[in-house]
Amino acid sequence: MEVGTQKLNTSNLKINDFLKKYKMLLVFVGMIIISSIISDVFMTSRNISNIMRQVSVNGILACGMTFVMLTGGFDLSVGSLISVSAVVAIGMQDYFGVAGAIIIALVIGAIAGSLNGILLSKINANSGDAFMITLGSQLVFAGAALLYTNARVLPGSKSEFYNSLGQGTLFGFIPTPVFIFLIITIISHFILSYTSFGRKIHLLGGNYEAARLSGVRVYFYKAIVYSIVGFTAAIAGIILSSRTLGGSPLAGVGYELDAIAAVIVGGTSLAGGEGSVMRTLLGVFIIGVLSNILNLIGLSSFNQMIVKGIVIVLAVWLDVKKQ
Amino acid sequence: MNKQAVKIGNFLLKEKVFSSSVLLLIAISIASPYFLSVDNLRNLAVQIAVYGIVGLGMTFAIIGGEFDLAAGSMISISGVLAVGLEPKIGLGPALVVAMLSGLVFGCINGLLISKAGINSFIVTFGSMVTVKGLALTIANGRPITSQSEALNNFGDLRVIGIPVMFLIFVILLVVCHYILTYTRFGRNIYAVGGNLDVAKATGLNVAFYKAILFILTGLFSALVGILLAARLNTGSPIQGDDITLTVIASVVIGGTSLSGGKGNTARTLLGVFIMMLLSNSFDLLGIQPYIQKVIKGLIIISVVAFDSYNKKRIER
Amino acid sequence: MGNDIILEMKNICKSFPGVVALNNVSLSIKRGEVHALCGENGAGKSTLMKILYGIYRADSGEIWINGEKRNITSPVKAQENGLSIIFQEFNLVDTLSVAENIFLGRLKTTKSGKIDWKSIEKDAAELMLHIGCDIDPKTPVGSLSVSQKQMVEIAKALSYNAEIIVMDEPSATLTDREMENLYRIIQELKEKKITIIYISHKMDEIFKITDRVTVLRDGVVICTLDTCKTCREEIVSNMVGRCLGQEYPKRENYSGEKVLEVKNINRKGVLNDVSFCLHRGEVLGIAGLVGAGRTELVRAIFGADRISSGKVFVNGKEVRIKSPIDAIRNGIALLTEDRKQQGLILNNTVKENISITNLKDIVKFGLLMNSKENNIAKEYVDRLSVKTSSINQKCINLSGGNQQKVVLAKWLYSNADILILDEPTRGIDVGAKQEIYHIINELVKMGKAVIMISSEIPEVLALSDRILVMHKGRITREFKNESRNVTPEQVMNCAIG
Repeated sequence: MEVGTQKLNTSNLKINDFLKKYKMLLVFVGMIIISSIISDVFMTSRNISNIMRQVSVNGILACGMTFVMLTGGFDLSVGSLISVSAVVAIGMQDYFGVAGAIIIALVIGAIAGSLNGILLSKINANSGDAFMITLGSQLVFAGAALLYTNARVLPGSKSEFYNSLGQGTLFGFIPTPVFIFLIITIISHFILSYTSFGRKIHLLGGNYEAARLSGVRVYFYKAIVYSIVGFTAAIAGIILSSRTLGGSPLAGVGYELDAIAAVIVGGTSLAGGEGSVMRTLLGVFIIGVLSNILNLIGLSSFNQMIVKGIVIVLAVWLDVKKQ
Repeated sequence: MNKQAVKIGNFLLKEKVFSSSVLLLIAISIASPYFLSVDNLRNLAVQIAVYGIVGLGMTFAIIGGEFDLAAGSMISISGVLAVGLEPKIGLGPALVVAMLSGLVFGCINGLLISKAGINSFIVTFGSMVTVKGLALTIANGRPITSQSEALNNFGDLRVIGIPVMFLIFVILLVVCHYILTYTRFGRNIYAVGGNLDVAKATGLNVAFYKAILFILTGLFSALVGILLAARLNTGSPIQGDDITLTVIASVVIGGTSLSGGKGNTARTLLGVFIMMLLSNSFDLLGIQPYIQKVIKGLIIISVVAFDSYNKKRIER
Repeated sequence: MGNDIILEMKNICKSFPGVVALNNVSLSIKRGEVHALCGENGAGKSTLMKILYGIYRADSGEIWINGEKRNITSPVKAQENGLSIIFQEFNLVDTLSVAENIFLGRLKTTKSGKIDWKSIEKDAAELMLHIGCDIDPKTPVGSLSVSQKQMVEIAKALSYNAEIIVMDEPSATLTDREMENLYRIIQELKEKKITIIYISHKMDEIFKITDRVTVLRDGVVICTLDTCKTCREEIVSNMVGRCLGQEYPKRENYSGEKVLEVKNINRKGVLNDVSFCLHRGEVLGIAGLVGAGRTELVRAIFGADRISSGKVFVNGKEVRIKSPIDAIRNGIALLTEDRKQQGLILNNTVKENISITNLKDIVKFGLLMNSKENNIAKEYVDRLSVKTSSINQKCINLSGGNQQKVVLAKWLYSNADILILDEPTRGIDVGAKQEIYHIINELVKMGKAVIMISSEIPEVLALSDRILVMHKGRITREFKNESRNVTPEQVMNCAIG
């Protein structure tokens, strides 16, 4: 009798699990079908390549944000970090060469992120603290970027290689930023799914105290994820400054919220523990396709904001309801 | 006499934010002769009024254990509606619609949070984006110039030399102080923010109080939207963008903890005062705006980190 | 007058999934008496009181107050009926003042609707004075001591004009002097014809302050006695008096050399100069009341909390344990009392919860070796016969007993030689309990050393080779129990202090 009910329960759970896992995928497929019906242009290779290009910067950042949010954390400062790395990567080229400038930008991104991480880990921050503190560092980093360029936009790089990072194509058909996005996604997915590092991040996000009492170095992992998102922000900044052919100290404004939205729409829980890069990828594409189709049907960017905001709340509502 | 001096000394030591704002006040008065000029003080008063009124709404929310990211967008849309509708339906109705926008969006936020049980961060984040989109759509992406003389004049109106906006702030401050200190309604908000379970066990309608927090921030934001439009003679769809986070930071810096159940209007006034005093001083001293950003950021980080570190040390 | 019944609970039944918590319980309380309610943990005292207070609904049964049948559906209803409960977890808002907490939700206003703080503070001060407590009503509750908070709760109860006040183990966390004060207040309340239901394990206070005692065991009322006509032994034997025996599997004694020695551990306000040792192949039981410092002791040894002073030796060598990582490295494991908050990561799978303590073992070049992890998880699931549909099932979907087995599995996998089990059988059903006992026996047979904390005294007696009894952060007595000859009464007497 007891075994019987248990079996029933588990089969119920399987259906639930299935829905849970693929609900957003169904939404995405639905969006694509509807989009291709209402717009002839949508399914053209040109448009698809466009979508890919548009989502790549947010996608790269969202990969990093997934690490942070898996631990139950939060980072509002990454938009400003994008700006910092954009101006540093352009500005340093005259002194250290292209490669040197890129490395410096990446290192600065990782270090700046880890400053957040160490502080948040030290005070054992809850999500409210993380919100306020990364808000503070958002201001600091934004100010630093403006300070560095004296609030001007730096002229674009003269290096062909550097400019190809944002604008070129590889193998004749893959836009370079899309390729970078792909690589970052694969690496992030690999780390989170197949390494002990990724496992520990999941465990600590699932239950901080239980992980601590099981011998996980929680302080270290709680800090390091901010370093990772800082690093991805730096990559995003480099691509942006190459795509726009200039280092703007405002390059990254607002990107943090897009990345957070993508992670949440993908179904990573705000409390941490549950989520994956694949889900984030889905979130990135849902938002990307949504923007694209709204564009194609001629909706203004303002109207797009309206739809975006509603979709984000609806997505989380779906998530809450199933519990 | 001596006792009183000790008392004051203790107070200054305990209330570090207050003491530092006094120090800052003295320092800037010496450093910049322009600071104490009537023009500058009026300017400062208006700044304090704008951020202070939103801050009052946010004080309710934070005491109740929440915060509202959509406040800035609601400021923008209310200004846009007031200015945009005025030529079509007249000033009075336009103002009513503007205030209603705050009420409606506040209600939607409140219901989604208290009834549907969605995380308040997500809800107010979502409505921040949506409402801003609406404001931009209505205004077609550009600031709308106000054609109402009455509205524009009201923005510059002074009573015995004091900007009327500041007077409105003072009145609201007194009213909010009264509500929070002397009404059951106000005290129940403290209880809900201080300990939700106890509030429930006491028989309070917790969902109602959670919802009302967001309705209040909505209404206060809408009011600020109108006042700003009157002051600047325009309704801009991005008017409120930077206000929300500065206001939340001000309330926290004043000493109201984000964990809820604590705080009062005096603290909010203090927080807003010091933040505005800082910006004003920086401007007078000719400090570049981006250095101001860095300093503001550092202040927020250190206040929150210190507060959180202390809190946890006590808990242990 | 003496037979004036104020409260009657008639034939109360309540069951939770899988457990009958209360079986036909009847209780009648006289006006103005102090009535003790005692029983072991899980006997049903709290459930009964939560039904009385409208937190739980009884499956069947009636509640009569002052000769009328009442329908109590919520705490607010209970208060309207003159009932008040002071839980161990206080119902106070830390950020608000004493006065406001007392009158929360019904603050007095003037005619104009303005809250009349002066009069509220005056009333609060009077109430506090009434119970002989001199606290400024403006003080925020968060800055009060536990006993002061208790006084605020009592004042709050009085402010409701409560006729019946239930106190749930009020003295568990008080110092001697604070207890004396509490007894004095109870005496005064009694003189004012206020009825008190006093939940406690402590015999000396039961005899000191109560008029009658009702003993509950396994959800049934065993007896109600006049305190002046009974004795300590009678109450204790009624509390624990279930037949021991088959319930606990037998085992030989495997005790060997010393593996763990703890010397003079102190933690401010919690642990006081605790020393003991543990041998290979032995089960060392730690008994004591809730709050005696048992959990604090093992957490300190495991590095979960900091200690102020003291030394720990493992296999004769001194070790410095500053974090759980150090403890695990030295072969120590801790199964925490709170399985869901501290033991398991509920939303993760069985296999992830097992491998967590020894990830190094299944990692090569930073990569997880899936097949090895699966094999290991399967091995432990089989060995401990964890009932789960697969090793990829989330732990949240397992029953309490099976969750506990997963926690045991993870610590076995950590290769610990010293296993500290804090309430390993709490909240799991009888069958699973026996399986856990078998596992413990297997472990010591393999030569592991086990420390077991349990609030169920019969369990400690049946499983332990030696028993330490703790009281107020100290070890007050050590019993040798190789032949299982220690009696519950002996242990209870030491635990009570």
